[in-house]
Amino acid sequence: MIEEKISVSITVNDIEYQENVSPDLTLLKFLREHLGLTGTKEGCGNGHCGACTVIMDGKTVNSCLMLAVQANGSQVTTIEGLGTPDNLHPLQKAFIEEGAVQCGFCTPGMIMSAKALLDKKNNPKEEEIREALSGNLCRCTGYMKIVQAVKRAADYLKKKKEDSSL
Amino acid sequence: MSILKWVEPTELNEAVTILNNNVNAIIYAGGTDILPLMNYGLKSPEVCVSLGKLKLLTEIEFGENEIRIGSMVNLASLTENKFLKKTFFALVGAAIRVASPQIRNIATVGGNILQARRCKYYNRSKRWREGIDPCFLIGGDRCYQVQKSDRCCALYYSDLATPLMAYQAMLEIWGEKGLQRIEIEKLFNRNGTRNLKREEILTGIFLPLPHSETRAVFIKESIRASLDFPVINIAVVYSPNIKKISIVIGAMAPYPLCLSDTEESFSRLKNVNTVVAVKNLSEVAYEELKEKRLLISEVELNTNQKMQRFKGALKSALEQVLLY
Repeated sequence: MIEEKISVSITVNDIEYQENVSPDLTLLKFLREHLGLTGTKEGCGNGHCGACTVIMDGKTVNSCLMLAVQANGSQVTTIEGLGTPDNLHPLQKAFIEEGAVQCGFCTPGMIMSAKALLDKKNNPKEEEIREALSGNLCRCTGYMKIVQAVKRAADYLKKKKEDSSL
Repeated sequence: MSILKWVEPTELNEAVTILNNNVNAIIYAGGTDILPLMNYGLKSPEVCVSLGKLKLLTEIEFGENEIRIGSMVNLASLTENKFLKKTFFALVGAAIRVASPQIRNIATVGGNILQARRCKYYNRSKRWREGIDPCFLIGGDRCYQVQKSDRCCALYYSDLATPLMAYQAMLEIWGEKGLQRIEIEKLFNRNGTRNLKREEILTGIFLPLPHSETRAVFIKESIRASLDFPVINIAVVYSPNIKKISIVIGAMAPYPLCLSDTEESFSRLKNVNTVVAVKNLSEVAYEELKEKRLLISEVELNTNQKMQRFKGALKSALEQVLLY
C-alpha cells in the first residue's frame, strides 16, 4: 500500500494553512516542521508532560498526541499567537515578573493551559489554576511561582478589561 | 509509526466494510491510547478508520428511563454535563480523574473502555523491549508481570469501566446483526480478551436512570494525583429503595472485578446504614478481593501494598454511600 496524503485546512494563529500531510503526521510536527512554529515543544512525545500543549477550538490538547488530520478544519492557537517581544501577552509578562520561568521548556505549554483557563474564568481560584495546569509538568520551579504568575495575569487582564470599558 | 491511509466514514456500514477489507486497519477514536502504542512500535496499522464523522457516536441522549452516551463523546464533555454530574456522580467523578485536562479534551468514552491493557514490560520503547525475550502480548511465550502464568496478565486500567459496571451499563455494538446491546461485564473474558470482533464497533453506552435516592461514589488511588493510571479504583452504587449495592474494583486484574459475594452479604444485613455494617462489609470485601485479584507487582508497588490501598479506599467509599 502506498501512503495517501491528506489535504487539511488548519487555521493557526488566525492564518489558514492548506497542506497535504501524511496520515501519521502529528499536529506537533505539523506546527514545528511544516509551519516553523517551534515555540510549541516536544517533551515526552506521549502526552505525559504537556510541553506540547496548544489550544484547539478553545480547548487545550497535547499536540503530540493528535494527528494533524484530526485538526482538519480547526482553529489552533500556539504560543506564537499570544504576544510579541515588544508587546507581551499579560500571561507572558506575568511569568517573567514572577520568575515562573527557569529552563523555560515547559513554559509555552503552561501558558497555553493558563490561557485556556483565563479565557473561561477571569478570576480563578488557586485550586482551579492547579487543576488547569495539572497536565503540565515542570521540573524546575515547583509550581508555586507559576500559580502566582497566573493569578497576576488574571489581575492584568481584569485591569485591561476595566480600562477598555472606560 | 507509519499510517498509510486515514479514512473518515460517515456511515457505520462503510466503516465496517473498510475494516473487513483490510486486516491492517484499526478503529481510531481520540487516539490518546493508540498513538503512544504506535510510538513504542507496539501497533503499526496501515489504515486508521476514524469514527469522528459518525453522528450517532457523538451525542448524549436523554430518554425517560435511560440515557445513551455516544462512544465518541469526549471525557471533558461528560464532566461538563450538569445532568450527568447530578445523576451519575460516580461516572463523572471517574471521568474527572482520567489523565489530564488536555487528554480529557480528546479521549473518548469508548476509547477509555476499549483501551489496551498495560504492564510494566509491554508499555516500553522498542529498544527497551529488545533487551528481553518477548512476552505473550508481542508473540512470545511468557508473562513477566505474573511469573509462570500461562497467559498475559497485563492489567486493565480503565477508570470509566468500573463505575459503568456498577451502574449496570449496557454497551451498544454495531456488528453483523446491526445494533445490539450487551451488558458491559460480558465485554470482558476471563482470559483477558474482549468479546468484541475487530470489525465490530462500540457505538454507545446505555445507562438506566437510577432511583432518586441512589447514592454512588468513585474512588481512585494513584501514585500521582494527575496524569496517572490507577493503583486501584472503586465504584460503589447503593440503591436504598431496593436495598442493593454494587461494588466494582478496577486495576486489580485484566478486567473489572465485581465483588458479588460482598454484594450478597450486604443484602442479608439488617441495618446497613451503620458503622458496624461498613466494618463488616469492608472485611468481607477484602477477603473476596484477595481471592479474585492477581498477584501482580507493578513498578512502584506490590500486590500487598495495593491491597492496603484498597482497604482504606473501600471503607471510605462505603462510609460515603451508607453513612449519611
